[in-house]
Amino acid sequence: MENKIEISGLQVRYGDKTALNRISFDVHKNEILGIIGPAQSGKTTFLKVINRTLEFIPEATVEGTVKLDGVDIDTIDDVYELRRRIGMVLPLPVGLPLSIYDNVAFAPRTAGLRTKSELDEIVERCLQQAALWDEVKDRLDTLGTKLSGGQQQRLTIARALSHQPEILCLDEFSIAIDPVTTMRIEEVLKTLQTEMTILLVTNLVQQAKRLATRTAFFLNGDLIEIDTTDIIFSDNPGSQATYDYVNGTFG
Amino acid sequence: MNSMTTRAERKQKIVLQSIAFIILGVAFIFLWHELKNARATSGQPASEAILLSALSPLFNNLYIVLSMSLLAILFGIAFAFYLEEWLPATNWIRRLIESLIAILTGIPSIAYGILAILIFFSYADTLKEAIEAFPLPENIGTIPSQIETTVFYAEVLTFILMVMPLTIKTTQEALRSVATPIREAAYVLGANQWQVLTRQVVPIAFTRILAGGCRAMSRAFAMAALLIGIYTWHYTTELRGMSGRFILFLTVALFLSIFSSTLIWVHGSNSAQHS
Repeated sequence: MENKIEISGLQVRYGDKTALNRISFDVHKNEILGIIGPAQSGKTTFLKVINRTLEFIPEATVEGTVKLDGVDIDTIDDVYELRRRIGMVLPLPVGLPLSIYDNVAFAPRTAGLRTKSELDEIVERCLQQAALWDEVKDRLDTLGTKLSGGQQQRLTIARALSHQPEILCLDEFSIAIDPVTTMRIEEVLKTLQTEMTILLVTNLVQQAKRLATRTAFFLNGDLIEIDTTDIIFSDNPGSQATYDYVNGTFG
Repeated sequence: MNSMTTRAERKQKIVLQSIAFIILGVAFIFLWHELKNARATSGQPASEAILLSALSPLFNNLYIVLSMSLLAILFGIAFAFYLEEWLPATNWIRRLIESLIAILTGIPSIAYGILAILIFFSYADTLKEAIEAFPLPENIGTIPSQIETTVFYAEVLTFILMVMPLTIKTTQEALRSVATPIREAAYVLGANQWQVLTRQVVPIAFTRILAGGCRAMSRAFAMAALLIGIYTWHYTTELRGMSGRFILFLTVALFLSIFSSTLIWVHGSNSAQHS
């Protein structure tokens, strides 16, 4: 199995507080890796390390290496190029104060794409993948910020897909979306798996069970275990804490 | 987010304000002393002597001075962008400049005008020597004698000192008002700093930046009007001579101030609609 991301000895601190404590694991190519764990366990921090947005937090320090396709991400000079290779969906939907069309076309445009027909095509494809096209196809020029919370969340998914990323990071993508639409997006994710590697951070352990090829369990900045989803959700995973968390008898 | 201030920040603010008060106090004592000396030598009230020599040429090139303040505003906006977007918040130069700005914006404009003019004209000779090293371009306006060149520079400096800190402060606040998630969302999509600024931050913050500029300009006009008012009051028996311009400047100042408030109000109701 080819490795897409290799993490070794990754440690992140915010001042004195340790957010990730020397974790090491690999993410395989074209897998859906579910990341589960309670709050404050370092899941979001981990995603921020990968696309180097942790650099915006002045007090954060990072040790260890993260390799993307065998290249240490710290040695990549063009950080914007790196971020274009990674699609990121943040937990709170943030509609850029632009029209729906411009929201989705923002990333291709920043990458230098100008042709109207190509942009149209990208916008339609991404909105369809995010299960939003049918609802907004007649009003693509209204403000993205006027959509409802769930629609805005799907808009951010469309935006994350718009620059054809190699890795798609989803951070709690479904908290504002109704169950039916969530199912539709989950189907899309399964088909996208052939094109890209997906990191799925979720509080809904059942979602990880449904989608993920493998699942990692984070707790207080430690990686407790990472294994195939079948084993994590079986009756005897590698650690008692995992069993307790997955079955809701934690603590 | 802005309203969250830590104890340490409040302490720092109090210390800075006390320093500002001490500096102002010392300046006043110093000036008062100077004025008393001047009275002894010239035999007439010192403030009048200085104001008489200072204020009459002041109004000949007031329009040039005001357009210079407009330039200062543009420069201030650019400088605020540099401070806010390129220098990290922990940089000591940024912190120094920000505390200076906090002191300078706190002074009311009329106190500014009178104080600055008194300081600059008390040292007119020293200033003149310094200025002769940098002669004024010929075509900038009609400034006949050397003393008026000094006056001109003094005025320009005063206005710039009054207008620029306010512009920098309001522009910084406007840039900060753009929510961090919006910047992050743009960065996550692979936009570089310039693209984030031009396509997200500036369009959102533009109204507030403009409002800040108008407020600063209004301040400059108000000060000019007040100086004219004082001059008219003191040195002409009839109130006709200067009052036309006085009213004009005061009206412009008032208009700019109202315009800036309207901009902020419109901006506020717009962003309320968006969220």
